[in-house]
Amino acid sequence: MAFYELTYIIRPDVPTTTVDAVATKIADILKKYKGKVVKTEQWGLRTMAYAIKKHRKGYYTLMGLHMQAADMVQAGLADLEYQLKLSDDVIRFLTVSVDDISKEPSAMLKAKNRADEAAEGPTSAHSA
Amino acid sequence: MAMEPLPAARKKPMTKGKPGAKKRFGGGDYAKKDTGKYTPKLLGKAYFQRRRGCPFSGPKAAKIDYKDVRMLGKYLSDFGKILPRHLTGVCAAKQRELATAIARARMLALLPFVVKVDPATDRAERQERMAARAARMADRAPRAEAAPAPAQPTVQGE
Repeated sequence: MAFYELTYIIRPDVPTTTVDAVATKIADILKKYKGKVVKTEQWGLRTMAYAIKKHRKGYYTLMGLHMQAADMVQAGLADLEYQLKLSDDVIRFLTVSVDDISKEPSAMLKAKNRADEAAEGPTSAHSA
Repeated sequence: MAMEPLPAARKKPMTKGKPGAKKRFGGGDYAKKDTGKYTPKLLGKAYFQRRRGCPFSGPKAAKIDYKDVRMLGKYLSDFGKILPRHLTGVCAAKQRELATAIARARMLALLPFVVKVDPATDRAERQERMAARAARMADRAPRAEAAPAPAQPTVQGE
C-alpha cells in the first residue's frame, strides 16, 4: 500500500498521440508489479522555466500511482524509472512518495483551468 | 554666571501654558506637523514588512506543494533565490519543507534555478514591481492593526 506521484515531461516536437502512448506504456509496466494508475492529469504544453535538452516547452503529465503489493514497490519503481530514463520522448520525470492521492485537481490544473476560463470568456463572446 | 540663563531660556517656551507633566512631550508640535505630510514610520522598511506568524502553520494554512508554482513564487526573490525566513515569517520546519518543494519544482522546470536580470531592460519594470509591492505593504499595514489581514493583498497581486 504505497502511493506515489509521477510527473513527467514529454518533448514538444512529437505527435500528440505520443502523450497517450507513454501513459499506456507506464500503466503496462506498473501492471506487471501490481500497481495502478489512480489519477492522470494532463497539464498540456507548458513553457519550461529553462531549456531541457534544448527544448523550451514540453507536455506535462501528472500521475497518481498506487502500488498494491508491498514487496513489489521497489522493483516496480526501479523498472519504471529505468524505462523512463531510456525513453527518448520523456525528457524529465520525478517520482515523489505521498501519503495519499487527492481526487481533486492539483494546484497546477486549477491554475490552468482558471487561465483557460479567462481566455475563453472574451473569445466565446466574440464567436457568438 | 554664563551657564545660568541658558537652561532658563530653554524651559520658558516649553512651559508656556502647559502643565509640568507634559513638558517632556514638548516635541509633539513637531510630530503633528510631520504626520500631515509623510509617515516616517514606513521609511527603511518599504519593501518587506514582517508578517506575524508563519503562513503555513495553523488550521487554515496553505499546504506546501511542489506543484503550486504560484504559491512557491511568493517565497522567491527576483533572482529566483529562496527568500530567508526573516523576511517571509515562515517557521523553521516549514521553511525546510518549502525548500524541498522548491527544489522539486525546479527539477520539473516549473521554477527557474536562476533568473538573469538584465539591468538595462529590466530596471523600469523591476522598479515598478517594487513600488507596487511597497504600496501594497503600506496598504496592508493599517488593516493588519485593525483586524487579521484577509487574502486581499494576494488577490491584488494576481
